[in-house]
Amino acid sequence: MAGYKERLRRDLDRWIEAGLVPPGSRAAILESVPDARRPDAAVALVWVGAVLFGLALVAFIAANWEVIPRLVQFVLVLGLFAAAAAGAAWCSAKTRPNAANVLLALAALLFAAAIGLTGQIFDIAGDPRTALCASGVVAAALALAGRSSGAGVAALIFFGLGDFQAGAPFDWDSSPNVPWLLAASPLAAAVAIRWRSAPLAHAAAVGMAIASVWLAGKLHVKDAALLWFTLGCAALAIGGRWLRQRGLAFGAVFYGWFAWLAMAYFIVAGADHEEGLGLVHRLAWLVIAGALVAAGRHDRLGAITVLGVLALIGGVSALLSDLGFGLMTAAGVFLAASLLAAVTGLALRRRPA
Amino acid sequence: MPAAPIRILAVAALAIAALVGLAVWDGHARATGVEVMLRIERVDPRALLSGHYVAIDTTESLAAGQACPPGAAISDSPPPSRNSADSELWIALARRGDHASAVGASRDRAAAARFAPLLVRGRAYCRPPTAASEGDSQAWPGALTLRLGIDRFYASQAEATRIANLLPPTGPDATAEVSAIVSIGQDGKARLKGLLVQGRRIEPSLL
Repeated sequence: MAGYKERLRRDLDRWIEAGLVPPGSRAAILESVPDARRPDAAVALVWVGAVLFGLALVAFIAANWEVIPRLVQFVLVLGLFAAAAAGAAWCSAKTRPNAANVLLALAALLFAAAIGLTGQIFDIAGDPRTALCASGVVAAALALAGRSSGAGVAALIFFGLGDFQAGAPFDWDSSPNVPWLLAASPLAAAVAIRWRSAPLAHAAAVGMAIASVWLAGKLHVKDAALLWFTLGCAALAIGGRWLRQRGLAFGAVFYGWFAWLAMAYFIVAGADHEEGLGLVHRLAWLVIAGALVAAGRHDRLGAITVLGVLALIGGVSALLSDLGFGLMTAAGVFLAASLLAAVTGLALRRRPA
Repeated sequence: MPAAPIRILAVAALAIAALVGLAVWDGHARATGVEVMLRIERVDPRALLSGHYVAIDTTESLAAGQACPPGAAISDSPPPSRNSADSELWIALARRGDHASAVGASRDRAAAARFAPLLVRGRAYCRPPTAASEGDSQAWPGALTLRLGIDRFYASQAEATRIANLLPPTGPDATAEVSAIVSIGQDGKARLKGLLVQGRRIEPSLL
């Protein structure tokens, strides 16, 4: 998807050609709009390199388990963590936010490794869930201390891994555990909005999706009652759209994720055609799918348009299945749906930016 | 609010202090707890990214005629994994010769103490022995498995393999040559101190 500045450049050329804007203003207008920061290959490689470096250090210590005395191992593990945190503090002091961000994420990973290795060094028995959640807490503290989206994402991953240890969190009836993501992901979403961080917004949205599934299961919400979850997710999607319309590009992250989740809840809510909402659900499905296509086209957001088209195809298929049409009718409907998908795809590719 | 570098260093210092504190506190509790020997079975050497360890399973055989201790979960199926969501119990241990065995379990500490004074937190699963019958002429031993949160002993790969080779076969006639040396603290938590292999204590050294 073209960025705002690129779209503005094309619009300006058009407006200048139409005589609406003096040609001399073109450069000044473009200079007034900051370049959108997009993760390029170099930045991606730095992130991958930082993660691999952390793993290499941990593996090095583990590989030398038998020759390095345990106390030295402990000091080494803590020293690596301290070095990463000190490096991040130094970069922060020198106003190098990107380097500080990477080093804080590295420190979060190293601390998680340090917890595991400390347990091994001193033969401390512990619950893996507790260890992962402790790693998440420290990663979250580092993220807040240094405004690091990388450490924030790491924190959510640790909380999620902790929640997904055996017996938790989807063993609703026997497990007393409440997933950490239930609290951590909405907080992360709030922080993502404050920091205007798209990576953290993605992680928070995924965490909220997982937490909402847990909540629905824990409360034994099913069938038509899931429409409340649909409405909740739709409200969050609308909130994301509102943020995006106010020029906060990362709002599209929430818009996209929660629109998909709302649609999923809506479909599951009417899955039982015989006992459930019946034909009304299917017709509403088609209307919502059409609205999503329109919204996606209007907002120039491919993820929403694709959701709308897929929902449309799914809705038609479900209706067909419910009504029990013959194979020839089914073939015709599926052909029409495939043509619709192809035409929409072509339209998206040729869409003016 | 302090500047970001100060905040980062403060969080890092707190995290390091917490880990050091955990190691010191756990070491103190291990040193001051009551030491018992527990029979173990099914010892496997493993090699993971994090190092080598001996996976231990505190299971003892129950010969024909031996009953499961009261309070233990009785089932013919294998005991659940260590991450089971089953509630923890207070397990009463009594010394039988060199080793300690579970003699009863209860959710209530006072009730468990009526079986024996030495109590440990954990889960107990028992498969009772079966006597010979018309359908099956062979008697099968039972098994009492304790899940005390001590399932790994970190050792060098060579040592882990050697320990595994010393493992006695499972069954009522097997003589346990490998035992877990366990410290039971005031908090009722079991902490692994080391292994007893053919009468030799193997305990990790910090230096």
